[in-house]
Amino acid sequence: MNDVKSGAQPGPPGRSIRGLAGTPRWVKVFVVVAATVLLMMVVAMLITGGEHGPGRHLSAASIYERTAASTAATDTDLGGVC
Amino acid sequence: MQMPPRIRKAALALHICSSVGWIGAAFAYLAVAVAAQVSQQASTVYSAWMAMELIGWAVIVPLGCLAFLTGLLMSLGTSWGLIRHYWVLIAFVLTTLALGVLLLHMPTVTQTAELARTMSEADAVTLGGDIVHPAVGIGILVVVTVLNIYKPRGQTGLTQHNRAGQAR
Repeated sequence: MNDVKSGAQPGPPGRSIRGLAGTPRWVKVFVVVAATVLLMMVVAMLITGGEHGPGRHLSAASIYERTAASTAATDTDLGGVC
Repeated sequence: MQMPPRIRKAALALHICSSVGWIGAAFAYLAVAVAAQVSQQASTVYSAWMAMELIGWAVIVPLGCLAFLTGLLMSLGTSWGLIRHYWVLIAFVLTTLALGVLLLHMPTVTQTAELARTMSEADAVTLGGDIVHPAVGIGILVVVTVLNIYKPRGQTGLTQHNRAGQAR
């Protein structure tokens, strides 16, 4: 989509070397919005327990059932030693 | 390094097709994910996860990689450069982020689809969908598309060729 021919750069001339003060306003706004969104996503992930894998698609009930079934099978295999 | 006009146009066509295709495929993935989220039928949830896995690996990942590579080619092979203009740099960072998260997330989709195959009907319904990832991904891709269309002004000052680039 970087069409040079049809999209002549409208940038102001003579501003090749600049510090942060010379950064366009839209870039500053963009960075602030992006940082805010990122922060909100991190907070949301922490609030929901930070679960980030296939496990988050399992309800607590089904996880419990699976764990219980697995434990029962292990106990049977070991003859109730544990 | 400047690309010849014919090659540049071919690369641009490929870049637009793959980028727009990526967004379209992400919307299709989102629709299936919503179906998995709202459905109370195990067969629908199971089918949705199979479809998400298929759309992800067979369509979204190839299109995402193609869009990334052609975008890189278009920036490095034209006077825009990769780090010369803010909009190109931001678009590149966002595309890399979207592709990275996609490639890291797809194995999880495969795992969940495998899980759906082996689950009982009652458990399969509790799987839900995968809405956040495609929704955030679409948001990022739309931002990148808008940047590509509007090409907002501003140079980073990170290259020695800025003045030459502006003169072109």
